[in-house]
Amino acid sequence: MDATLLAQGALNGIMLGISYALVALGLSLIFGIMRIVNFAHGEMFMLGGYITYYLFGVYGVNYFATLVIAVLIIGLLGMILEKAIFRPLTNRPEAALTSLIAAVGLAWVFQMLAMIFFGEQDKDIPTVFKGIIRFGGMMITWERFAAILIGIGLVLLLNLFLLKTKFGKAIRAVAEDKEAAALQGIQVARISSLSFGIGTGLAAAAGAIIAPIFIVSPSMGGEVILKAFLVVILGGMGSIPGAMLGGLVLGFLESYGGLFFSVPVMSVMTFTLIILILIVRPQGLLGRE
Amino acid sequence: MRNKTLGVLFLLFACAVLLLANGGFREASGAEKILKIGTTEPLSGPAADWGLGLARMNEFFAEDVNKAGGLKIGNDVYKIQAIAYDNKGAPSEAAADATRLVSQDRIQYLIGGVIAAVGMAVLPVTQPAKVVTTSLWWGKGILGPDKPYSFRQTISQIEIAPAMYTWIKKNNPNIKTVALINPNDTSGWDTAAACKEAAEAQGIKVVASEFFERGTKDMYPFLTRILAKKPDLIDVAVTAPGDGAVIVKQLFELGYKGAKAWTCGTNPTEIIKLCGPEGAEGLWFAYGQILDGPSSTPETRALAKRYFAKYNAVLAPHHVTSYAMCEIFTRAMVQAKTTDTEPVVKIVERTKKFDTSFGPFVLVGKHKYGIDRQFVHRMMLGQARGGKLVEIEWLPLPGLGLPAY
Repeated sequence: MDATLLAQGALNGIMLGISYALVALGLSLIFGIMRIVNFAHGEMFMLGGYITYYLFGVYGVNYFATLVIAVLIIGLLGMILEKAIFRPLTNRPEAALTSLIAAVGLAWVFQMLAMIFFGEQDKDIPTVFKGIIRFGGMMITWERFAAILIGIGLVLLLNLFLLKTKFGKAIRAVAEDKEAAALQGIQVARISSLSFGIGTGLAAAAGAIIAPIFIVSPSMGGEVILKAFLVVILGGMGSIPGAMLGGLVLGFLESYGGLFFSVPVMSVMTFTLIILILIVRPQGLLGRE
Repeated sequence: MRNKTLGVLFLLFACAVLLLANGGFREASGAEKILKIGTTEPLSGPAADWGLGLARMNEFFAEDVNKAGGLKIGNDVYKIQAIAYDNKGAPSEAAADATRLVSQDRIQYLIGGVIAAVGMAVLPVTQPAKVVTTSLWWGKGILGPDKPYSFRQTISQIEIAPAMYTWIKKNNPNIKTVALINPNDTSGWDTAAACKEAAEAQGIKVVASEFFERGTKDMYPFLTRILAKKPDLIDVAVTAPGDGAVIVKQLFELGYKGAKAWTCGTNPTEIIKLCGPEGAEGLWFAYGQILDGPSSTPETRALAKRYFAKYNAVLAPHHVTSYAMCEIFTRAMVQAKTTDTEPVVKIVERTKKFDTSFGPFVLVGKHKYGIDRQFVHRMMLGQARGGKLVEIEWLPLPGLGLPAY
């Protein structure tokens, strides 16, 4: 087996893994704090893509400014959704089920609104970072390389925030034990809102980073959410490092699976391996028992 | 008492909704009637570009006929109503749409439709009801003597592939190997088989034939594997515009410099936009006709301009075949003095050659499908150059009975 091909597969796997991890991180954060399975998370990713299409692609706004704006807008949207829809549901009976249904409904609403306002047809965003890096027979576009760097940067930033800041520590405390955190004087409602905003902002960042590489469409969120759930379950629900690891595992599985086998066989292998991992470790690779 | 009143009001409301849903209030007085032309299309998702134009052509036809005063069939004047439902490219959704179109909307004609797997789900609903379907369902199982009401409104992969590969080999004798990429469903499998047969007939070896799931975003894993086989030509065959554009773009990113073809690429202008000019450079299309250009009929040019003015989108050649089908079948209805599908189909079968807004059509197919239900028309080979579609020449399609051009 050609070493260059193997190395190219690894590079593809890292790219795929980082993109899945970025989407899954926000999902994991929201579940960790609020125990909500946010099926509308994919649509936050989609909206981040569309903001990038219009601001950067159509109006020529600087890409990094667009990324920040996308995160802020969708982060704010997330906070509004948390306060208006999910918070009232969390204190009701059958909270898990009702908030799940609400999330599914929201996903449909956002998808349909995207079709109405942005149109049904796919849209292409101009290349942000042009050119191809070639080394040792392998190649990666500057765009994908930048996506990996920005993705890693965002993950490091998130970790720094969670470990070193007052708000980050409060988020971890609420995730650990909501009641104990409240007893310590932490405003749980405010932290939940902030976490939701960060989670959806991360999804929007993923959309802004990945959209120029692929194509923007109203259904792109639905296509990515399944992968995000796989990553979260694989890595462990509520675990940030787990989401990173799960993303990389899935990315490598798909990359090497696609390299050596046909796509249908690769899909069967991927899901079979994930099921096997979960049988051995049902809490996920880095999840708590 | 209050409950009884509420109950009665609810019943009245339900009746009103049912009547409206069945178009009960749309029946005009006197001899004016409604002819419903239905379709189930992917109006969203990667294949939306295919479906939207087809549905909109039915609407354009309805507008044109209604503006001219309606369609006189026998002693009645019919207004045309175009109905379209979104199947998102999913067979299960299409089957539900077809059931609704047939039993609720009571259509007799379903014009347009893409993705063979969708067609296989729709036909079991429409055939027993004797509903005429004309479609772009590119699968072998779509036409046959057991499906007398199923027509294909545009050339399928079975006719295009031999013409395309003959042209490619004649004009590019250095091409000796090809890799085929298709979606993993009936359309993809049948197209892969047709392209393989056509390529091998020209002495071009198929070094890879890959299938992917529609909607896949990152094609790098299997593209890397294909490129390791160093094909001279890569054909994305029957891939939908959204998926195919991602493939072509990512082939460029991976450094592929060989020839590219999209044998069944049906909206080149939109595709080139999605791929980007560099990615699309050199890509051959069998549906390469520029509809507002000199190779098109005046009627087609008018439709293209009108479509762009209304939707700010480019009309594709395959879209216009729906308009042509509406013309062909309504003329047959006028001749038959009825909208009943049995006599109408007999007239269409007998007529065989048709002049339409898109140009000449011929009804063929007996030798391949056992029944003449395949419409064929001219095909312009085009190529992407400098970010634009360039027409090269009309693809020779011998033996199909088309007039010389």
